Amino acid sequence: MRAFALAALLAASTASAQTVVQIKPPPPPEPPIGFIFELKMGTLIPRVGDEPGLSSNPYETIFGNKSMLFGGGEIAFIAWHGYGAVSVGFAAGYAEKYAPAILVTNDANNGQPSTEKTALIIFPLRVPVGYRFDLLWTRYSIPFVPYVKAALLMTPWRVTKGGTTEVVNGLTGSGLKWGYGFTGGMAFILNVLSEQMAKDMTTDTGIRRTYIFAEYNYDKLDDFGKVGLNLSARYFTFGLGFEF
Amino acid sequence: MPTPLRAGLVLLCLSSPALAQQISLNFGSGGANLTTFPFNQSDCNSNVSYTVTWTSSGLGSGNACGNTQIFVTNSQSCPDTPNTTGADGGTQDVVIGTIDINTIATGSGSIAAQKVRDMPGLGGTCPDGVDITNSICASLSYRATGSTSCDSSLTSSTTLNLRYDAKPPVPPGMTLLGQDSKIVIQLDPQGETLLRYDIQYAEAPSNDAGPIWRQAASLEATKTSTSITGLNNGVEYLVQAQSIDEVSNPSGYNTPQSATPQASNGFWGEYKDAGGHELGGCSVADAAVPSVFGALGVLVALVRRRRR
Repeated sequence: MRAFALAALLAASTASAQTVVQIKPPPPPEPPIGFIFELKMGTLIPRVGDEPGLSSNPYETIFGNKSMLFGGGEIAFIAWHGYGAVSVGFAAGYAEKYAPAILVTNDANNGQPSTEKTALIIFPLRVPVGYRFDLLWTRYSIPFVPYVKAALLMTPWRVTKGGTTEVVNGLTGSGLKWGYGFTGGMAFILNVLSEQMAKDMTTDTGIRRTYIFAEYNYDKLDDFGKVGLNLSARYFTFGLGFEF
Repeated sequence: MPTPLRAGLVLLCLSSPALAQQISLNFGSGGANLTTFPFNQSDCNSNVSYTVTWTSSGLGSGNACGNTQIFVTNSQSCPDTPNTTGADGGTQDVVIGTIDINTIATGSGSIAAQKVRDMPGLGGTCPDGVDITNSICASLSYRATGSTSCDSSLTSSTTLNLRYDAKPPVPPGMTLLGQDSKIVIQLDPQGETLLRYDIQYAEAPSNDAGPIWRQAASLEATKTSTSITGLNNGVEYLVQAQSIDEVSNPSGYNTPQSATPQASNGFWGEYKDAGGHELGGCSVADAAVPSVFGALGVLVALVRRRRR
């Protein structure tokens, strides 16, 4: 009796297995080119004190050890997609830091905070060339994409006091700094969290991938070694990206 | 048709024409948004005048029972008819225009210019230190559609005001901040709607001689802060301000306050004091510009290639 029941169960199992066989279509091939759009933010402290010959670090004197808040965006063109992806792009950002100016008097008030505010404002611009090792995702569905970038940097900067550009001995506190930078980061592909939602987004908007990322930036922003205001910085940024 | 529904339809038919019957007033100058005509003692004494225009709709000779009267009253709201006798114990209203029914049926017009001082609250005089507002109203006795009696009255849908303001405003509250070569002045209007602030400043005298006041730029009343620049650091200055109301009455200057500008360093000043070599401006590195434009050119070329 028991043997008969086991035989019946096996027969039913076999029959059932035959009915649920599905053929999963292969994923569509990656398009050879595309675009990337990213929004990012972070904090940074410019290495003003690295300039040779300074008697003190004016950034620390005015702003202490507090960081500048940075926000920005980047758009990149995926120029080649094969064993990974190569992109070239343009990024723009904004960072600022406000603090009270410091009184310069001959009495006990010397060095005390003024009622006037001073600010360092920078507009980092960069032209990055990047490589994304996205084979982990495209071939093995592992949702991590490491990447590196090298970039040419140009940063307009401005110092204000009392709401207007500060002028000292006829020299205006504004200018443009040039330099270069390197970035290394890791993106986490959000498509893995909901494949159906990702497919719907691709169909509706053309966005093939959505990802969050964290990256480390090494910016050398000192007019390629010229002695002057040094706006170099090493900092992390985090953000959200779209590939389409 | 059910009785309640029929009654409702009749009521709707009767009320619809009534809703369309309307008289509105505007001042002849200053645009449709001007609802208050303010004037000061000087305007009153010099017999400044104003004009009123009217527009009507839905009024025909068939349902008007008399002429439309336009009048100035010191009542809080427009009465059905002008109080020309003072019988209610109030001040007599001043009728400034009468429009016959054939004229009002034309839809619009204006009445003759009137002196601002001819308002009930003033009684033809221009007293000191008072702030009086009167209303300009229109009224018409008329026969409602479907009615045979003149028991309805129509008042103007817009109320205009005449405001005699001979009361000086309160001097402004003031706070001073001594900064680098300047003094920041923060002013508080103390309630009344103002036109501007007048500001004076002077170096604090070192002896019994009074300060020599200099006029600073006036500040529009829509703003509350301004600066006097170009001052000497370490020198004490006195500052005083007065409010000017919307009919140019001055408040008189407030009690002078003092402040001393003090030199300060912003980030740029601190950087230069620390021996910074930066000179500012666009220190373009020779190789950088071609590189940037080259990279941008490649980007544009790739984008255009993709579009094809």
